Amino acid sequence: MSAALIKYRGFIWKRAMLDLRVRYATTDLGVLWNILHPLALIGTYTFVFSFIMGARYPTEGVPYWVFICAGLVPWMAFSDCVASGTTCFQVSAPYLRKLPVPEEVFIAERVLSATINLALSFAVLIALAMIAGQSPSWHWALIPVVLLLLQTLGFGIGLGLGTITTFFPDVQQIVPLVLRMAMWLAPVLYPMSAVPEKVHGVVRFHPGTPFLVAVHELFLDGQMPPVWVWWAQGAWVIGALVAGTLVLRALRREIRDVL
Amino acid sequence: MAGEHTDRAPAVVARDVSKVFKLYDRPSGRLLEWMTLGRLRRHDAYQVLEDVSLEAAPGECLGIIGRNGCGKSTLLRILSGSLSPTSGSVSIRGRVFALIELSTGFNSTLTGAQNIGFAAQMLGMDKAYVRAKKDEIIDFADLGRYIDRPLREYSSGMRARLSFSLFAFLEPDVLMIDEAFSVGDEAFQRKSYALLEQMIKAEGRTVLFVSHAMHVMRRLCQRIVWLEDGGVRLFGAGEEVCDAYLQHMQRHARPGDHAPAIGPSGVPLVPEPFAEPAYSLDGFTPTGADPQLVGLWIVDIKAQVVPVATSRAPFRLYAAFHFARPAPAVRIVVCIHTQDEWLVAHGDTSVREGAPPTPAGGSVIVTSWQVKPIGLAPGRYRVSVEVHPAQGEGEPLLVIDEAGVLEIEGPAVVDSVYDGFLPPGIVEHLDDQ
Repeated sequence: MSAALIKYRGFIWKRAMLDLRVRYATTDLGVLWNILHPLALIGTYTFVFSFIMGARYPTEGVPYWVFICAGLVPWMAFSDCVASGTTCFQVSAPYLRKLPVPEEVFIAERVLSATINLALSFAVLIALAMIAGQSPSWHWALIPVVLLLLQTLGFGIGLGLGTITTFFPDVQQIVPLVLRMAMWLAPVLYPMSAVPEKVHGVVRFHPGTPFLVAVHELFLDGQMPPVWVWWAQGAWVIGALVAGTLVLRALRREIRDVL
Repeated sequence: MAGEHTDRAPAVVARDVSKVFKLYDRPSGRLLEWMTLGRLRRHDAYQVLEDVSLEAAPGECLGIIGRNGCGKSTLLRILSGSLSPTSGSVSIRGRVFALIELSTGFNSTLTGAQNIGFAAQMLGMDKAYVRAKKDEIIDFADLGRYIDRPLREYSSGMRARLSFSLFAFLEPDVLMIDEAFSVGDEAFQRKSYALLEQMIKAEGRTVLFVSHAMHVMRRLCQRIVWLEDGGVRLFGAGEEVCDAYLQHMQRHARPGDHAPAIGPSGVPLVPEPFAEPAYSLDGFTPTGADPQLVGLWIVDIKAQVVPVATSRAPFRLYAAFHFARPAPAVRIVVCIHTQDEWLVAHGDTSVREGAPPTPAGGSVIVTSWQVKPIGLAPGRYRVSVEVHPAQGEGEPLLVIDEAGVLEIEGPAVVDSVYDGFLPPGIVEHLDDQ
């Protein structure tokens, strides 16, 4: 699996970059749209939560919009991985039909393009947060590690769902639905501390939770996340990779038969 | 690699390759099968290939022929690794590229030049290597200023030039070509054949070639596999398999394919006004050449010479050649090409049973070719004619790339199993008046 990713690394990189450039190639604002879409969404959530609903979450002095961004930006990149991974084989069918390029290469390309977007968005976020008065911390150095782990989780889930969707197109309809629900069940728009104590256990079992908590702790509070967060991240990533790989391996021979 | 030329182990080996597609009425059928561990059967098995074995040595061009739907493309996809066989094994030594369709993996928003780097990386080649080859590829494709235009502006002929150049110059050990090759102008085709021949003979590469163009297969392929209904019907020397295949096609053509147009008197019909060919042939037949093409007609189902064919009914193409001097036995070839240079139909008099036509001095040979308009979309086509010695590999006596324009009117009738075979009907000898 990893051998194929290394062999086709040039192709993956080039396709991912192309994806970012080509997606909005005919528009006037071009590449800027990659940033404008998340910005618009963040603007909407901030407006609704802080002005309309007057949310008073204990964000410990951090402006609410910074808090929202810190959760939304990674979550959107992750859900992009999962959603585009799910449709990946169908979208890449013209290549898969004719070329002996391994399937995972196309998933990796989707994940990479989402990750590049994530890196850019997060860099913008950090710059804005510093302007807004957030003081930098050496803990920020660990943020890329958490984000990469989150994207790796997306890769693993994408492998599995992409394979299954090829055979059961209904999955393609289910995934966006589940992703939307999952966003509200994870501490994306609210901090973990706003969650009632008795459902903590449930929220902690959400695969997104440890990653979001880690980003919040590192970025907003400038402190090391608790140990369980690291264990949980590792477990989810390894679990998803193993499961995704097994599903793909079991069904790989038949994927191209049905494309 | 030392000993490259002494090593004659096959480059491509397929052993008992079978392919069965499972067809489900609905996706949930598969789920049901999984949940019952296969005890509940919900699919129809559709066998496309059955126990196909073949091999190709380094320095060999192996042809694959057969009617559409015989499994050629599936076989090529399995050999190239983009499809796995249900049973059997495939082993390939070295780097394999398969040119299965035009513009395989190209991106239409990138320019031709950018696509070279892009597609090459998709084929698993590294950047530095591609950069070193880029100029050669661009030179060979010979697209002029278009090389810096986005691919969406390319005609299919131009795409074919680019992809063939790319695939050929990246030095594959095994190159597989499916059809794609008949696209591109005549000069490019010739250049490409020359390059292929060099790759095969001088560089010892292996080429697997799928085409309906029998005259190309004859020339390029040392051995040919003839597939029928997913199995190997015949695997042998190129010429031998070509002849057997064409004879079979001739014998098993669908009814009406090559019944000669019979006139009222029961005499095979030759269109009347010989003196006035339907097309101006000036400038097409090289002056002083012998034979000369003296006429090319479209004859409809009512045996009338018409200027434009219709897609509603079969029609015939007549081509007449004047031989000033006696010639040895000849083989006459007629091809129909689309405007973007797909070879869509091809006929060859050598598939007829009996002796090849042997023109006397001062005689006219009239050939007629049954065209099934089904499969030929309405539009304008280019007709080319060739006269070759029937025996051996001698120089052609006459090659006219643009003998005339065939125009087809009417509704589009699409038949995906049209094999592009033009059965020669009658070959008539007429003495000069």
